[in-house]
Amino acid sequence: MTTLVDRLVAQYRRRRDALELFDLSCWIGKPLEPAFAVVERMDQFKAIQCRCGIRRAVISHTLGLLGGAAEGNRAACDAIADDNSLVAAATLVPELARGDEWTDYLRSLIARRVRVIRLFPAAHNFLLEPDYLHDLLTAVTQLRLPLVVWQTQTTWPAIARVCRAYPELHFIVEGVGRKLFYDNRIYHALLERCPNLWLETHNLVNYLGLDHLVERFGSERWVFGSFFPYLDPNAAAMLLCEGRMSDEDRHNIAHRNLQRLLAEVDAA
Amino acid sequence: MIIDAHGHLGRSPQFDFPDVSVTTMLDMMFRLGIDRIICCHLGMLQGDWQQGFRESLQAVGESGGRILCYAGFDPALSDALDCVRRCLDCEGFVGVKIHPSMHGRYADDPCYDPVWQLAAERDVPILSHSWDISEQNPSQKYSFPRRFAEYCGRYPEVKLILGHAGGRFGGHVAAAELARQFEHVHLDLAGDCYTWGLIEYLVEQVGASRVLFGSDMTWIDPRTQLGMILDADVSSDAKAMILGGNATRLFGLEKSELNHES
Ligand SMILES: [Zn+2]
Repeated sequence: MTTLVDRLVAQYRRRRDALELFDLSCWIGKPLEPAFAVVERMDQFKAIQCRCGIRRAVISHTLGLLGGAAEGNRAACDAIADDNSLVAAATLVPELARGDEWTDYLRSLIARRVRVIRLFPAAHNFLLEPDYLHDLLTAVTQLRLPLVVWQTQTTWPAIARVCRAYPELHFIVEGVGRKLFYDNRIYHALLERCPNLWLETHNLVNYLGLDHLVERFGSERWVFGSFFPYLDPNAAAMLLCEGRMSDEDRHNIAHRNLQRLLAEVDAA
Repeated sequence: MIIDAHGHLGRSPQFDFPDVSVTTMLDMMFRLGIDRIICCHLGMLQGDWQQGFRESLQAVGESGGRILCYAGFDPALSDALDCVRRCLDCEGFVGVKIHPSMHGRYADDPCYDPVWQLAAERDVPILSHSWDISEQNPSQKYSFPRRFAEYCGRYPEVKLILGHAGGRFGGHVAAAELARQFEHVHLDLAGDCYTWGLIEYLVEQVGASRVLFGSDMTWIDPRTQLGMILDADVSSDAKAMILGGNATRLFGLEKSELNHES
């Protein structure tokens, strides 16, 4: 049995590493969830990143959620500064800029390799609505920055309204705090109607859920994420390694989709 | 032999299940090298016991024994214990499943005493749902690991499997505590329980011989737990025990032949 196990382990790791995982959801800072192995600092993250097969990552700093957004953004940018395999996600709150200042603020973040925007409307007590966030969402859309929001931080109707009001915005929903697939009847319907709605994969863990999404909608609107270091990235990774999909689809989800999204960011 | 010790048949109304057919399940098992799965039909837990029973028997037959079953115990049924007996009299039923959270009864509620007695008489394991206290889902308190201590103490001869090993961080810690206290308590990895370092923690706390691979298929995808187990920072021997060695021993599957025709 151990020979079989060793063979399975080697095969899994080989397949996983061949996917060149580009992870949308990696975190540093004060932990968001308790874990058995604590990873808070960048050096701790890097020490285990390779063991888990995460080749590249978008790093978010929990200070942006738990403390101040501006401080969190500085911390995230500092953390990735000397590693080109990493980019940062920034957290925005409505008062960070006004009107046209949004473009300047976002450009200053892009200059420090921010490539993704996160909003936490519930935790930070604001409305995710086109009317209220017009200037912010316009600037984010114009600069082609993908927007990531947890489903537990807003409502699906609000997500739909933003997707419709900003059809050029890449809106990625990430499942945190509740099983994302419990809402699959809702997101199946929204995915039909909102071509700019995307899903991050770490919580799409219902039986055959990801395979089914690929079968129904193709492979271009799902982005690999793991919510590491709170969760084990191998759970989301093996869904891809052994996914009932073509290698083309597998690689789209594992890294190409995110790579293409980030290549669109206006970093001029 | 790789054995998934915690599976389901059927679907729940809660969300859209893409495909719950036995054929697809067998195909998934074949692709992943899972030789056997032990399932509790969701109907048996959710108020359609008869349909659950019928489809369980069908699955055992259709799968040539690759799918084995738990008898679901629903305390709301007036003939709940007879239902369990009826299952255990049939070939392919190898354990009993209880779900305190779904049924709104604490795991140490007197309603469960007859099931423990029966499990002792028939020498079959009990699989129970277990979870952490949760603000979002208050009924999880019924299955908090510490709640099992009462019956574990009373029935040391009954092997208990705590499904989901306590579910979330606080539950995992409590599940490990219970398993350290009672050596007949086992912990399965089923569900969306992916806390980083979980497998290493459980192996260190209770030993690899009491940790079991489980998926929660048709609910949760078995590839997620397999990925975690294969890459865990524990020995190959430990992985072999978790993947199937322990379940083989627990369910007495050493001698049972699989029908390779089907
Ligand atoms: Zn289950």
